[in-house]
Amino acid sequence: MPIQSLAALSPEPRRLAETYLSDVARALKGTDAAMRDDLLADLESHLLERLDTSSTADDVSRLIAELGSPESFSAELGGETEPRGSAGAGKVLGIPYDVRVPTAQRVAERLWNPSDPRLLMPRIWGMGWDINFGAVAVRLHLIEPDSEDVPFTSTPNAAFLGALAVPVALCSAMLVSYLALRGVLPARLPSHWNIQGAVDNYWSQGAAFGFLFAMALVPTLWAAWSVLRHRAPLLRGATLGLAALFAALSSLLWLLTLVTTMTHFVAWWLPPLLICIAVAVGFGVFLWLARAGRKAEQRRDFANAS
Amino acid sequence: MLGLLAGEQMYGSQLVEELSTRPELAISAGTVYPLLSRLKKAGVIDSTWHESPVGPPRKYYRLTDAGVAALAEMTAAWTSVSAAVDAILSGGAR
Repeated sequence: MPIQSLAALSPEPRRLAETYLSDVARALKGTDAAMRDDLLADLESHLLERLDTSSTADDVSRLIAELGSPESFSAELGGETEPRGSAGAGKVLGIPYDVRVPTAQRVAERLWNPSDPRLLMPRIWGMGWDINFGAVAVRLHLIEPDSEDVPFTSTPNAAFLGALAVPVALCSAMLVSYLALRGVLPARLPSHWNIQGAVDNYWSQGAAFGFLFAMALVPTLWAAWSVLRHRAPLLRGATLGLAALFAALSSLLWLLTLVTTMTHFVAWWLPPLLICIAVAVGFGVFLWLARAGRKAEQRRDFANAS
Repeated sequence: MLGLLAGEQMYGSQLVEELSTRPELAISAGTVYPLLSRLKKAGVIDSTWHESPVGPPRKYYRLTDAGVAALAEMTAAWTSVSAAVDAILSGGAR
């Protein structure tokens, strides 16, 4: 019976399969990112179809031999060769990591990739996984896997500008609230909450606000630059979704700081609730941009048909 | 995929459904959609949104002229390879 994930294999066969996929990914560095990810998804899908929980390391080795060496894929797609293990991405104990400088292409492929059914993708930067909001939207029947030829390509500029208003408004709200309240706030503000939602660490007022504001402002400036300079649609969509996510997360953490400090309200559910709201804001911006693109494509095709 | 689209234009989930009736091909939705994207990029298929009388609009795919030519070329190659393999297997059975 086919397996749903390589994690279903025994440790040694799983290690072989994951190492093979990582080697292919490394060998394909420098090729078209969409083609590379498609190929890796196809290879993984092939492995899942042909292996089962009783597969041995020899079974995996045979299957890998059938598929071909990582170098053969690189030769086919024109990738640059790279020494093994020197790339900033791979897996440790089955957990993916990526410490390469994030690119718009990678941000879009990991956070908004409706044609890929995987809900969790390797993290854009760091260790672990990120949510593929595109796959979530497809599962919720909010969009089709192929609703846009290339994500955000048909999205009108007005939609990008509208989406930019979200992180800009959140950054502005943070700044205004800080300037209005800095005189009444204590010198030390919460920096960490325990599992019960109670504060268990503090830092200075300036550091608390500065850190959270920078976390919102930097991605917002990146998004504003990409939108106002009319960079590639994929870059605009990716940076806007990311900026909305970070600006929402930062402003809600700032709100939590204010609520905790001024009302001493403690609830275990408050921090996770705020994180969920922030994720929903990022998801909403990605979805809005994609649906605007789909609508533009439909308008174009319906007009041509009539 | 090109062979399926040679008969009629089809939308994505229709292609997935059609392929799911052929389990021996082992092609899932996760393969179909990226493949459609690649084929479109290669210029062998094209897509157009159409109103649907029974639901939301659907994106239909069809072969382009280049796709028709590519399909003819691949069909000829497959027929030739298939005939050669059949001949070997028939010989082996003798």
